[in-house]
Amino acid sequence: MIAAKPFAPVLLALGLTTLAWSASAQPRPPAAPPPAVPALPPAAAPAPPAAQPPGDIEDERGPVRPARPDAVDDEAPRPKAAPRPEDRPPVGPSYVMPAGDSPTEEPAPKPAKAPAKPYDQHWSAGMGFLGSSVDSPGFDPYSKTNTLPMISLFGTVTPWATRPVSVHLAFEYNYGGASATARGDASSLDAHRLSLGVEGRYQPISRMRLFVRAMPSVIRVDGSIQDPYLNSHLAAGSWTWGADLTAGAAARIGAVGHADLPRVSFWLGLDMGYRFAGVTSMRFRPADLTEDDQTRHFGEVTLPNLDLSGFVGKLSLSVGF
Amino acid sequence: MTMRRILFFPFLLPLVSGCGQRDEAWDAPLGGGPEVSVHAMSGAAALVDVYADRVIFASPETEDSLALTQAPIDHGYAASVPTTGGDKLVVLTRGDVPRRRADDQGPSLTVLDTKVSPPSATRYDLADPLSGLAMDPRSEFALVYPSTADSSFVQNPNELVLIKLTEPPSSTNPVPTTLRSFGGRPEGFTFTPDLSLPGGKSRLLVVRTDRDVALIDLAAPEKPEITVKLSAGVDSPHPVGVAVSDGEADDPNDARVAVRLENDSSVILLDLLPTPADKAGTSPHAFLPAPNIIDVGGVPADIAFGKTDGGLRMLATVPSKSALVLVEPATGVATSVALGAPFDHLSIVTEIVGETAKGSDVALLWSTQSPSVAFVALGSTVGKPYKAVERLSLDRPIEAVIDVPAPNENLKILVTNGGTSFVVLNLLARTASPLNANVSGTQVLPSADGQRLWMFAPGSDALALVNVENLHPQNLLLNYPVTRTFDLARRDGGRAALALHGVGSMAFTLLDGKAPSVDKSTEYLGILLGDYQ
Repeated sequence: MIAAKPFAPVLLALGLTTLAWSASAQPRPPAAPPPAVPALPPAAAPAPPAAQPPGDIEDERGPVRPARPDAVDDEAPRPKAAPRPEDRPPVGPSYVMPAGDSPTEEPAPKPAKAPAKPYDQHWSAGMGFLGSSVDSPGFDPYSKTNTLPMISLFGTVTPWATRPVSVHLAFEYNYGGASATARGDASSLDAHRLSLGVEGRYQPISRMRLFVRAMPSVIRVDGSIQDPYLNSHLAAGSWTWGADLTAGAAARIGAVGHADLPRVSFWLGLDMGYRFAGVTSMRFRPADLTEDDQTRHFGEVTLPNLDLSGFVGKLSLSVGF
Repeated sequence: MTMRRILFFPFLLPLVSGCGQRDEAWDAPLGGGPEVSVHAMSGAAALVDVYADRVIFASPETEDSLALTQAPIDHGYAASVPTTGGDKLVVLTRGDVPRRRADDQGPSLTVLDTKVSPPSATRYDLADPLSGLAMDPRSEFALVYPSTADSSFVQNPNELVLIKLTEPPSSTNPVPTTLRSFGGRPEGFTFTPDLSLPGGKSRLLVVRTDRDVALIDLAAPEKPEITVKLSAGVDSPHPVGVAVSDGEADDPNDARVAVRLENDSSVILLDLLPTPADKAGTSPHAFLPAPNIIDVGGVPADIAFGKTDGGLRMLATVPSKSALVLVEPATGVATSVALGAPFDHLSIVTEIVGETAKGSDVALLWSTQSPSVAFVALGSTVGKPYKAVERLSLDRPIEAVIDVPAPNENLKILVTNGGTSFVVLNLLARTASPLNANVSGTQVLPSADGQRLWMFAPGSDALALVNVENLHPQNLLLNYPVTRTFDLARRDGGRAALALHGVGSMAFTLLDGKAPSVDKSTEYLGILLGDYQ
């Protein structure tokens, strides 16, 4: 059986945390107002109805204002109500709610906010779960199936932020492994993959983008076998090359800032493709030798060559900023 | 639902393509004693990895380098035997039983030639999945027969398949044949040397069943065999041993086959004579056996043919009489030589010790009942036979005799006392030098060049090298229990000792064959896990 590395709970927790953060992004109270502006009245003393902008709804707790027009980021900016004299431009970024959210606001009159400034994101980082198929017979000693699960940390750098097509420098680190028994001996395989490449994006709307990625990489594989009868730990490690060609899509699940060009955005991505990898030999020899064993001479035993080429698919969460 | 499909799709291809199963060999257990047959080849140790359907060859290259190669074999391993020269391995496989799919393998005999790397294979298809394999000492023929382990729904126990190893597979090779049976089934096979027979030189395959003897002419195996029914009565004698003599080299009419019977004082001599004129029209053979029953005075334990100054004799050890009985085959006249001890094994050692002054053979006799060995100079059997016997006393009876290859073929290793006591018998000097081991079950392996003895005990880490010139033992303590030791020719011209540690995934320890040293040894672990393309 493959023993999937225990990153799934971490991934799940991260995803929930990210979503929760995005969903709870409420408009912050403005920064300390100038002295001429009176402090916000308590909730028990709502502002006069006349001061409310058109369309406000009042319930028993006070007036409730529908989502601000600027929260609907895929639509053209709507004309805003004229700011009241006591309103001041907000200091710091605006927080944009995910579509469909209808936050309630404090009944106290609030200063009107200036439109969020467009922001060109130049960085992104994320993590994800990556599954790859490995049909190589060299994978058999370490896994009862042909699937190699991996966790992925990745990021991009955007030298020139253009829309709707853009090019990004991408890096990615994958770690995964499998374990099984090889003819009764406990066996395992660890794989590290470090890649630098290029990602091309097409973003027809601000909430979705399509991308293709070409990621040359170096791959480190380490095999381990325990033979209890010989009381030995055999280990093998080698480097090889790889290149992932993938394509996928990502949906924005949250953003902070400008509707169309937010300062921070959160993405759920899915991509798939094929991994080309070099064939590497797995030459095993005893490891974890004691001091007494240092004088012993060992030959190598070669297990089937390992080829990590195969189809890959990745589910990821990322943040752009 | 749509979202689930979207999430599923990117992983669909990797998972679907990744759900294949690995080779079932990786699930084969190793445990403490994997199912591996081991053979010593001329320059390699051969491990038949039954679960992985392959043979691993371990060939020493230098003092610290071992070349590992492998050759695939068909499914259903049944048996394997190396050829006499040790350069080929004959592997019998039953194939996939039952065959349910078109690509299931059928039974076959595969000859792996280790002279090339990787070993080349010659495959002979067989009609039936049989498990018995016998090998011609001259490696010209292999014989496949039904063993008692075979359990097909319907089976003919007298069906034999003869494979001519010197010829490629063809419609006439292998050669199937069925013995005419009188109710018996084959139990033993003897490939004879060249015999001068009526009709020309030929070799015979003598088949012992549990109640009769059959002769197959190896020059024309497609001809029907000659079955000799040993008794016309209800209680058929059970043949348990065979000896063959060509007689005089230039006489085509004096070849004989002697058959020893179980719990019977009679020996049946089959004179291979020209086919009588009245049967010449019906028999496809130029010779026919003429049986003669000779009583040797007691149940013989071993038989052989030997030359005396009086001519050819059939020799029979009769432990109940503590005698060696010499029978003049032409007349059946028996002469008894008193030995003073119940010797039950004999072998002609004339080629080792040299013939007597009168050109007669010398026989070595040993006993599992009496602590002694005896040399009998057959040339003195006429007149004063008793003076021809020279006995050598030992501490314990002998359990087995191991030959030492040339140039020290004058040495015999006598195994006694459950493998803790050994005697190096010098046939020329007539000396018996003891070697003792402190672990029962200790085994002795003479090197192929006859210079050394390797001694090891299964389950023990100890390994000893004994130089046959001075019998000096050099004890070594390896890091794992030794299952088997091989003394092999290295590719660089030296000699190598290869100790097999047959537990777990198996390991080899490679040592110099002539000057072994543990601190210069090289260990190879995880042999059965390796892939040696």
